[in-house]
Amino acid sequence: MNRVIEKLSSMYLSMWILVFLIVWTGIGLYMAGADSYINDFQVMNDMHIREWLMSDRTGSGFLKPWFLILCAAMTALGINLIFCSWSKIFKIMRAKFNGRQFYMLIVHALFGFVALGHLGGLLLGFEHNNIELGAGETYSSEEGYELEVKDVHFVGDVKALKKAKRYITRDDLNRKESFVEISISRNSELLKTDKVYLLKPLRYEDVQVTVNRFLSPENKKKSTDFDTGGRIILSLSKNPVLKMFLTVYPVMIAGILIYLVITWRKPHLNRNNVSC
Amino acid sequence: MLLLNQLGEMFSILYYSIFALYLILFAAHICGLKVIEKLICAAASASVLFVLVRLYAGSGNLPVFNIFESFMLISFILSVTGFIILLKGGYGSKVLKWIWMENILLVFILLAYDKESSLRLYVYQNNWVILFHSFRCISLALMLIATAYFIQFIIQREMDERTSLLSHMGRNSLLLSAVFFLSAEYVGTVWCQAGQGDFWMWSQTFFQSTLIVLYLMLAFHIPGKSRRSEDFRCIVGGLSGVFMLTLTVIRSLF
Repeated sequence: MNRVIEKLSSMYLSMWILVFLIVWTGIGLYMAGADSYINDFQVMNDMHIREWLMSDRTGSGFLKPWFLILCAAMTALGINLIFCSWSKIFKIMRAKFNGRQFYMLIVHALFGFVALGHLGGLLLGFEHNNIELGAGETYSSEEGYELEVKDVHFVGDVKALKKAKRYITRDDLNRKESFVEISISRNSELLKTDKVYLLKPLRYEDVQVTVNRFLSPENKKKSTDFDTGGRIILSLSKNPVLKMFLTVYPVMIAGILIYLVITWRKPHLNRNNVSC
Repeated sequence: MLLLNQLGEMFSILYYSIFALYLILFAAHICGLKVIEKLICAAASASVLFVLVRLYAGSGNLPVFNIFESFMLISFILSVTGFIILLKGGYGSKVLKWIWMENILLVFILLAYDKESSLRLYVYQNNWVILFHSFRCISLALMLIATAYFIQFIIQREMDERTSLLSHMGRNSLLLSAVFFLSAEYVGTVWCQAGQGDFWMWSQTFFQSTLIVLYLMLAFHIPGKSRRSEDFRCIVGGLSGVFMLTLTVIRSLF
């Protein structure tokens, strides 16, 4: 049993899992640029991962097995982290551990929480993307939320909206004056009405309404009776672990920075201290 | 249009001047001409700073977005670091030739790119976007400094035990670089959440960032206390700058 625990907490295991993850992410990088997978990744982005896994829209190729193996490797790294931390805690109890190593243990624990935040973001909450609406139109989600676009106020050159988003300049679009007035309600109860700008979403508790882009009239996917010409693409999402994630992450970074400061000098004490 | 052409021409002239200055700087270092090396280093740093200021004045963007701007900024950080090492002297000055070579490499890569400021994109006004690109540049500069220390350590360690300080400085630079890279990832997360409504999007840029994070994790998790382990740690650490530089160039192609 001790031998198994020793293996599971081994740094060699960490190293080989990391090597595997580098190779596997490299394959992901290749697939994300390959013509045969671009649409599959787009579908993956448009849906919540939980729904994506259950749906039949995961693509015909290698993407789903690739994703599941990625998750398995991350789980193995998590198990390694838990066992590694556990064995360090034993060493602390036997007073075989110095202060710096104890500090690094805390940083590793914070990393564990950041990884859990990523996992929580994948599995919890919901996500609805590519919602195209114009003024006066509504969208209802299966979770009971209803969005109503009250006004689309665009300041800029409408023709420029035909460009890809990454090429839209400050001359094309006035980001500070272009907004969409949106109300969000749940089960007919109005929760909030606000002006939503690009990169400045509407937030109500854990729910977020994001304006992804303004559409030029030519980009319309469907015609409506009350079309005013101004249409937008929205996303509605909920991530219950977002606040935890956004709090723990900078604490982890600060922890690494403090560790660096306290170990900046004295190289004879530092060898291998950075590691788990 | 005429103004843009004039600016482009000016950047090209300055670019080739900086390239020449770096080559002379490297030659002065190899020949051991300390005073000339300091003077050329100061001139090169001032020239790069001038380019950065003109880039900012031309577009209103901080010079961190396109590859010409970001490599100029990284080159400036490397030059200033080299100048400080030059002034301090001591064991650190042995890494200078690698830092000057890295500067030459950065400027050489820019041969293939337009010498111009980035587009006046509306997203470049957002603080999170500015911080993301700035932290990335600083991180790459620090990674290249770490690479210089590790290479010198690998070459020199047989001769002098004190060279372990080089390995330690490499580790410090790499850890500081990791702090900046993770900070970039954090602000990138906030940016993505505000712009897309989610933490991240599955895309090539996401995979490139993840690869760098994993590579940094690997560099800090190589086990063992033997000489072989230490050599391996230094090789992985030393390749970090090359790894991130390659991914940055690949990223600029999309």
